[in-house]
Amino acid sequence: MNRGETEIRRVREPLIEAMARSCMKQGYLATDVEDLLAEAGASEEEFVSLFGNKEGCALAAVDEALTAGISAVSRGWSADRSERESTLFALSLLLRIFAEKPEIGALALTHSRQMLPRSCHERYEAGFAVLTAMMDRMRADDPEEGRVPRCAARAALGAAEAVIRRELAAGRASALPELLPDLIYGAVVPFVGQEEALRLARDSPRLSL
Amino acid sequence: MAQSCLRRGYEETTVEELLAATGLSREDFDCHFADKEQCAMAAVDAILSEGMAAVSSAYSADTSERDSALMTLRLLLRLFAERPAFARLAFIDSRQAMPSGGRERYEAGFAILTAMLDRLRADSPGGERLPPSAARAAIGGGEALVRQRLVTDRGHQLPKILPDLVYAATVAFLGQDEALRLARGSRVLLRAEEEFADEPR
Repeated sequence: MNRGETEIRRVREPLIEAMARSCMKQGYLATDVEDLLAEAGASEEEFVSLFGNKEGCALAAVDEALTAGISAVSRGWSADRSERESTLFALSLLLRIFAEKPEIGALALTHSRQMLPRSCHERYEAGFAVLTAMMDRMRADDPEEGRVPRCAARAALGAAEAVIRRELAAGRASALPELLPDLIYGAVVPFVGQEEALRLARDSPRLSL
Repeated sequence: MAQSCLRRGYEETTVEELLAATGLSREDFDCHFADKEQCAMAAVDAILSEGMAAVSSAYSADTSERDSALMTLRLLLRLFAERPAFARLAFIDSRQAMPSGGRERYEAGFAILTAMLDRLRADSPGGERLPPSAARAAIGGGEALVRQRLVTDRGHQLPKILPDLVYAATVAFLGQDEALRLARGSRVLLRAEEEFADEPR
């Protein structure tokens, strides 16, 4: 990589972060590339070289958000833990990420779905599908095989998403980790039933350690 | 407006195209709507009004909370299947693709459904122990299932997901066994409706 390329890469992350913040503050449509350049201290040439256009930058920001989410989920899964425990750990890690960087949560869960161009929506659907597949593994834990409907994972994810999205929209991202018991209940009850879901929700503080 | 949003999205829709599609003049449009946004809000209002009418008709003094919730889901799925363009507008475009007025209407509809579903709490063996967000989560779960059909242009299949929707909406309140029993009941109902529709007149 020559010196010019290194310089350009230096501004990539600040530009992506500026895009994420701007989307959260005023939405994608009202986001102005000039403002992003000023905030990140980048030139128009660098922007074009990195992303091509505004949509390319938004797409890169969505990719970053989804990568952060998927990597948290992957860290939650381990050979030493059961599927159920892995799911709970993954949820806990996701909440922490969204609490620390609410613009990541807003991009991944809200903007990528409809406000951004169609290409970003496809990324969102891909991320949702990966999480659904991971969560679906909990169906194997049911003592009566085939009893839990196949839609359970999608519904459980939609349930968690609705609760997280409300907190993000209300500007209460920092309080997200406190919602872990509620989220755990909503996410696991279709798989394990009410009493076990309540027990797992009660025990959830240990996941925050 | 609803059809155009379905095909191209709200942002890409222009008033000129709406006029061409409906054969109306610009004066006709201006007489009813101040701009494109107001026309879109009218379309969102239309589907929300029909949705609320369906919900209201499902709740009655003779019906239990549980049966009312199931009837509501059934009527809403039928409505969305009959009018997929409007359903997509209400479920998808109104939330983020449209100006804030659309989102506010969506949130109002979501809040009404949440409040109605939350009444199942009184029937729940978990009772007071259930999280306060249980109804919001259950509606979010159901919404994820409906949205999946709408974004893949399978809105006409929505009535068939009734058993899945019943399970997703009730399991947090009534527990797994009862939610499965209700889902089975709704499957029987669907089959009976299909057989009735297939009978020669």
